[in-house]
Order: sequence, then C-alpha cells, then structure tokens
Amino acid sequence: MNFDELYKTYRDKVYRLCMGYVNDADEAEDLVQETFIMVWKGLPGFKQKSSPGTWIFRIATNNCLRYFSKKKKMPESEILNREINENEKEENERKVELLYKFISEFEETDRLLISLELEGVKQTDIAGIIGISEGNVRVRLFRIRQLLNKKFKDYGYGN
Amino acid sequence: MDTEIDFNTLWNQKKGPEKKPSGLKNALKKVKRKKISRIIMLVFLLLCTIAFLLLIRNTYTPKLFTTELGYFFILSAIVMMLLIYSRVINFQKHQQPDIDSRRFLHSLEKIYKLEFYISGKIIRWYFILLSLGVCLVIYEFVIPMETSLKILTYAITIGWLAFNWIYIKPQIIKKRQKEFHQINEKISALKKQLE
Repeated sequence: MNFDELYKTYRDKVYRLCMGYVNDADEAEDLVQETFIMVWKGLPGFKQKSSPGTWIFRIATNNCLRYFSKKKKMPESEILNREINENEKEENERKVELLYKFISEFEETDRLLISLELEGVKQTDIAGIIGISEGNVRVRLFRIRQLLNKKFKDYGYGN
Repeated sequence: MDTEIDFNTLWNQKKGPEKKPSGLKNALKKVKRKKISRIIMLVFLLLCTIAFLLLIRNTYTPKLFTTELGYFFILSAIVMMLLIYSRVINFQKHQQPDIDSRRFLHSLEKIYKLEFYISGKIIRWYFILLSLGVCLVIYEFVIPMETSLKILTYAITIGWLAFNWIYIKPQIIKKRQKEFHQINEKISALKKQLE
C-alpha cells in the first residue's frame, strides 16, 4: 500500500473529521498532520485486518480524543462561540460553516460519531472504530441528527 | 424526521487546504530533527554537569570516600531529572493509536497514571539523592573548620535543603497532581460518554 495514495484519498476525509471535532482550521490541520505521521509510522505494521479507511479513521479518531492534552491556540469556548460573519458568506457556505459549528458543540464522542457517519463510514465500522455496539451507534446518530435539525431550525433553516 | 437540510452534501463541501505528501514528509523530518536535537541537548547538559563536577573534584581532590559518594549522588539526581524533563523517556509512544476509542481511552488513562507515578517517584528520589549528596560532599570541607563555623555551614545547608523539602518539592508535586487530576477528569468524562 502506497502512503501517497492513502494521503491523497483520505486527506480531506480526515480533515473534515477533525474540523467536526475542533471547528478551527489551524487546529484541524495540526490534527491531520499528526494523524498522517502516525499512519506513515504504522504503515509497515498494518496487517489489513480492517480496510485502510477504517484503520486511518481509528487513528484520526483517537488522535482527536487526545486533543485535550495538546496546547490550544485559543480557548475552546472562543472556538465554539466564534460568530459567523453573515454578510461575508454566501447562504450555502454559511450552512456549511453552521454545520461544522453545530457539530463541534456536541459532546466529543458525538462529534466523532456524526462526523464519521457524514463521511460515509458504515455504522458497523463506526461501532468498531469507537468501541460501542451498532445499536448504540444507531440510536445516538438518530438523536444527533434530530438535534442538528433543531439547531438549524432555531437558526431559521428547515421546517 | 426533517430532511430538508442535506447534511451529507453540506459536509462534503468542506475541503482541506491543498497540501502534497512531500509537505507531510518534511513535517515528519522536522519531528525527527526535534527529537534528535532534544537528545543532543540532553547529552550536552549531562556532559556539562559531569565536566562541572570533575572540575570541582580536580580542583580539590577528595580524600574521603564520602565526598566521592556525594558527587555520585548529586550526579545521579541531576541525570534523573534531565531524563524526565528532556522527555526522552516518552511513555506515550507505547500507546497503540489504531485500537478502538473505548480501549484507547482505557490505555491512555493507564499510561498517564504510570507516567505520573514514575515521575512522582523520580522527583522524590531526586530530592533524596541531592540532599544526601550535598551533605556528604560538604562533610570533608567542614571537618577542618572551627566548631561554630561547622554548625553554621551545616545549619545553612540543612536550612536550604529543608526549604527544598518543605516548599519546592510540595509545590512541584502539587502542580503535577493538578495537571494529572485535570487529565484524569477529562479522560473519565470521555469514557463516560461511551458507556
């Protein structure tokens, strides 16, 4: 397996997962870099028991969970409460920004669950990545989606 | 459920800044360089410490075995502290990054506990060895002194060591305990989310 190919295929996916977690471009970039350094180091020992994608998402997810122990450039509340400039953004772009903002306001593991789902990872694989049952994943994702819809509605989007 | 907003489409519109794998490889090289420079700095500090102790030893060749032993204790204490602060002993490198999150958090908790326990022991031994070392080293210098000067020298030395034991050491341990408590709390909260 070629590292450059893995990097090309999963870079944006890992970036989005990290953005969902921290909602800060610089912090997400750092997390992506650290994740791929771990992928690079672990590649020779990767036994292909799972797909490369699941393997990379596991590393990225765990790296996100360790985020609390790393130095932050600004306090968490500042990242989460940062206002989106309504005049500068187009409506669609604003929705994208809102989605990432809303996700980053959830509990840490919920952020990871919804990010993995939106990234197209199967619920069975999500259960394997996070270490909870598939039923639990399904229930929690349903609740998270409901909350997301509510947040958008409160912001004036959706029914 | 309200399906008007297509979260998947919105989600996929976010793209990371364009970066080539070569950029990452450079970052990896930088990490390696940083690690090597940390080791070089550690070796340099160790050599400086040894050179400094040898200089003192050669300026005044000790006649007593206790003085030699004192130098050895002081050197051991400094080496132990340098090893911890240079982060050459990295407990977290033993952490498996590709296990599931639940197991990852358990293992992270264990590693932090071990790191805290070992560094706590090292801090304690640092102060024990340093205190013993200083007392043994000055013993030879104090012998030829007058009694009043002997008392004064030992009073100042023991006073300084006591200040380290009573004020500095608890401060270091308190700071580390606070850090550990915060980490432990955070990991427990994350684990609870997965229950």
